[in-house]
Amino acid sequence: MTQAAIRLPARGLPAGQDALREEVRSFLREQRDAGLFAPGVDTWLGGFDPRFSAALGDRHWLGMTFPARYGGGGRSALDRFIVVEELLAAGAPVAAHWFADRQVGPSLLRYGTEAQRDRFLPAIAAGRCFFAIGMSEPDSGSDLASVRTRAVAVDGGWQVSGTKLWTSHAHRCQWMLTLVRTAPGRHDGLTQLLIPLDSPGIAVRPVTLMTGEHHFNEVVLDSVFVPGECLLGEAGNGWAQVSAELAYERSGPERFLSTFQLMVELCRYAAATADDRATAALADLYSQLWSLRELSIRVAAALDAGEVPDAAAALVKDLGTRFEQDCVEVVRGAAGAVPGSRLDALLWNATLHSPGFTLRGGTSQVLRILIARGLGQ
Amino acid sequence: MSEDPLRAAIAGLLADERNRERPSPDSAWRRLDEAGFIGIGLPESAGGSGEDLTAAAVLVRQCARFEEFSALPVGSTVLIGHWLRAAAGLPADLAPTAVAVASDLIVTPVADGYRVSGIVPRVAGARFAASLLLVAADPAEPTRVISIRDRRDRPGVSIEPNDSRAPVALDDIVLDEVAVDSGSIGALPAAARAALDLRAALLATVYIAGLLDEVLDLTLRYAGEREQFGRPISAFQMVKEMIALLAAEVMAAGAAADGAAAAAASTDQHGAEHTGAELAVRAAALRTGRAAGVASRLAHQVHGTMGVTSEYPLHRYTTQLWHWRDAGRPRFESELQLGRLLAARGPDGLWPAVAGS
Repeated sequence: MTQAAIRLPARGLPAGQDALREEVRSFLREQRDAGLFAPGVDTWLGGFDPRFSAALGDRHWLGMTFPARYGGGGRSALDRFIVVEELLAAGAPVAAHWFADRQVGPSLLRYGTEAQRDRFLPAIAAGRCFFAIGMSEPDSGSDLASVRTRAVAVDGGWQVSGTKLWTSHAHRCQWMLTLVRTAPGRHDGLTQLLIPLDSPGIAVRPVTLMTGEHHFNEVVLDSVFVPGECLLGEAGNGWAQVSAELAYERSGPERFLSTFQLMVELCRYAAATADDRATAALADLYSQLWSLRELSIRVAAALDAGEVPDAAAALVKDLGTRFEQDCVEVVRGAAGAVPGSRLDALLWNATLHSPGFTLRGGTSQVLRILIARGLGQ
Repeated sequence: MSEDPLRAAIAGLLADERNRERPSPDSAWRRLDEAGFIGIGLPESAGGSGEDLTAAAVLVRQCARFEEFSALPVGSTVLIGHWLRAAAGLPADLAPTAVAVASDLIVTPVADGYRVSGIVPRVAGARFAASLLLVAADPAEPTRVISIRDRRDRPGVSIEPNDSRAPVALDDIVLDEVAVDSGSIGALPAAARAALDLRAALLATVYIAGLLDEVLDLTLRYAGEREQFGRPISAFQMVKEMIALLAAEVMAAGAAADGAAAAAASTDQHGAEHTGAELAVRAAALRTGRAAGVASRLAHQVHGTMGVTSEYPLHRYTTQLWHWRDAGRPRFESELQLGRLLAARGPDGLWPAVAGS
């Protein structure tokens, strides 16, 4: 019965970063004007563009929080927040490096060996090493602790068998950070392995979305040998490690900016027509977005301070993804999309993506249980 | 004092007053004053330490959590009164102050000053206030601020409780040929007149955030104590879900209120009024207004019928939420006002408006 778990102090974004922001904006303008990307919705999952990721790496906008000795920028999570929100708001294609930069890097810094950090972090920061996340399985969705993919200790490493599902971009990534069971039990026997996706015994099969897009996969591991040096952290500590990882996964600006380009179009329409309904709708969405961002910055600051604000992160994700869904409906109702227009196309794409907003990274229903638990209920 | 110790000091003082056999608003005010909290934001020229909007916001938000003292005009004294007097060139005053914008006061010049007549309806905190600050906003004339101190001793001033929104304490101020000397009327510059609206919106926003904090606490406590089907109702997933949704509204509103106070405070430090603070305050006002409705519905649902009885305290917070949201005007108007600011910046200006730069 305490609000402490979800009530985080306001720490604010660092001052004096206007230059960084402007640098990112000017890069985005150049790329857009050169036709190298078209602003879209949900581009952190759908916009897989290795060239774009490499360009970000060249500008030191990936791995920003990694120490310089690992090729990183040695900057705070709040500096990274600035870059990430600029990229998302612009609807830029950031999917290729997304998971590596967002959660694999921080996990390696927290739990990885020196050799692992040397091996992966510079490549991640360069935008040239992409990770998929192997958590869910055919029979383990919301109940993540029930994963059955087994890793058995063998000479020199592990032998892994099982099936991972909903593995975004596994067909295009080099590595998969994989949650496996190394001992019976629930939370106790879980372990994380860094598995090369070109290992013998791995088959990656597409699971096509209703949009026709292919980013989900089923990854079947059949007696795959994984060298011992690919163990992340401690065997048996996987649950704690994944919980920390999920706080990164759930609280970022991608949980409320996936549909921001729709708001830009609503603003364009309101400015052009002075239509009252569109103008009022714009204000209402803005007020929600602005407030979500304030909350999200708090979680980023807590993560930066080494805390694991999992209930607060769950709260941001639940609220943010509901907002994204509402945004689609509100803009559809207020912005007068003419069939065949750019807005019409964006709306259609957003509508088809929107059911996933409140599923991926933890369903809203599971998140709410986490939030209530954080509140002592 | 930094924020957390300040919060704890105010909450401790008010909790102590609440726990007396007969909670007394007079005693609560006196102690807030003695502890220096009423002097937050008092101008340096008046012996204070100058504007501190962040501290004032912490004070207002904590006071909102104690409905026993909801008739105390802490916010209008500290967050508005000190600043408004300074802006209008009036002397500082630590007395409990009710502030109201009055559109049809009759102000007549006489040999020794002015005579003021009229009715100012539905003013919060007036029955407790010793000082009244009335903003005479006649579109045909420059805005004037009229200060009426020691109103209990002033002939022609009466306060008539207006129970139209009970238990929210509203009063009609009735003025009948009240003598006001010329030193007690000051002109309010146009920029300050606009800033006054923002301050009022900020006050309501921060106050709502405090009410919501308390509503969440009450709901958590009730859900943990109330048993049905042999276990606390908080054990049921349907109830957990309502609590999570309630918490999300309360946290979003609280973050919005903090962000608005911070934006307004940074504007203050830099002197000039700029639109960043206006966007933040108006956005936060809309967000807290939305949260007020959603959170009240959820909190009452968790509380069952107990929550709608006069005995149980929940309604003394939810009624205030319903009253204070949307600053007493149609929400659609507030949305249009903010929406026009955003539309004027154009589609390329929308993201900078979110990011604050």
